[in-house]
Amino acid sequence: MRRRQGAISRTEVSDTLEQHRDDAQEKTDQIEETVYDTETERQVLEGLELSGTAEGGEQVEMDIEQAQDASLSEFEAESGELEQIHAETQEFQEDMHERSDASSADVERVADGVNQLNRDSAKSQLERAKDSIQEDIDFLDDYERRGQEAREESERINEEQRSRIESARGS
Amino acid sequence: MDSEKTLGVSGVEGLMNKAVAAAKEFQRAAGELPKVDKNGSSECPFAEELYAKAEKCREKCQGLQVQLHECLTLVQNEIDKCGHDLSVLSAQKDQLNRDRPRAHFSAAEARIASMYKKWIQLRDSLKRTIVDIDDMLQQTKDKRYPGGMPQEWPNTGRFHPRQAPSDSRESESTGADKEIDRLFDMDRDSRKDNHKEAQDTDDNGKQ
Repeated sequence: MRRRQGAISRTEVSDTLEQHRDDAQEKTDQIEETVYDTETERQVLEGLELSGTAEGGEQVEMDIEQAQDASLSEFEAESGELEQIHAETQEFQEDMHERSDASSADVERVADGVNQLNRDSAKSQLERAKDSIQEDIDFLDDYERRGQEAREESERINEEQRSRIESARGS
Repeated sequence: MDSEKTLGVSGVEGLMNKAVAAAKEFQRAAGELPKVDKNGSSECPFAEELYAKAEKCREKCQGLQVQLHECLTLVQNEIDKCGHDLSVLSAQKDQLNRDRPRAHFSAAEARIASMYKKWIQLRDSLKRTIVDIDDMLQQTKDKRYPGGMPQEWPNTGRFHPRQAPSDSRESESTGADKEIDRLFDMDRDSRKDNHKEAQDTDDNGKQ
């Protein structure tokens, strides 16, 4: 059987999406630690009584604000890495979509061939081939959808984390 | 002290130096006082003037002593704040996940610890100054001109005729005197406690 150039096995598809999910989850967990740090910094800033003297109070406040800046910088860097993972998942989705489109074209060609054949045995073989391609299409569509869901969920969580960071810094 | 916000280490040190200088001036003035009998008669023709000068010095000392007591309360507030902030920072620093913010927390922690130590040293110094001045005021309590403080004529440098002597100590005491005596009593009573508290705080500071 002739294989299309760049063909990918179902296991590879499944493993690739799993890897994207793991990478996104790992990065999300890292970001969560940074968000926690920012919230801790805010709590400390609110909890400090701070000396009423010019000698120390302002400087201590500045130290904590610098800690907040450092955490924000960490958050931006980690979010950038997460966006990179999301972009790769997006590429994966597009790849699944293109493959699905290509297979749909194959199905149409096979269907045309079935109509032109006279022998039932040959028709039957082509029908099986068409069903097999249709299964591939369903699989690819399914993984495109799974990829999209995983990416959108990760993006949603990241937006929530960003919102918490802004709240901790702004309130 | 005008307000807590203006309190600074240099301000407290300045007040202490001023009080110590005033105490020394009073001690010197009190040491130069000539003997007078209970009618106010003395071999020294300037006796009344010297007593008047000493009384002015005493009043200045007592006024500064009141300020030192107020200052002590404010310094203790600063110590309490630093102790609180230090415990909050130390506890939360260990909760941080990232090194960079933790480094800034460490800087803040070191800054507060330094202020904490400085305020404790200042409080102890302040307490010693108050006790020293209190002792000096107590020692010179009886060095007063018989019959009340001599009055100076305005802009002349000369004195009012002395009023009739009175045996009543109560009549000599002004409101400020009573207030200062009350503070001295309070200070003497609490000195024991303060000493113990200073030791406790020192122990905490060392930790």
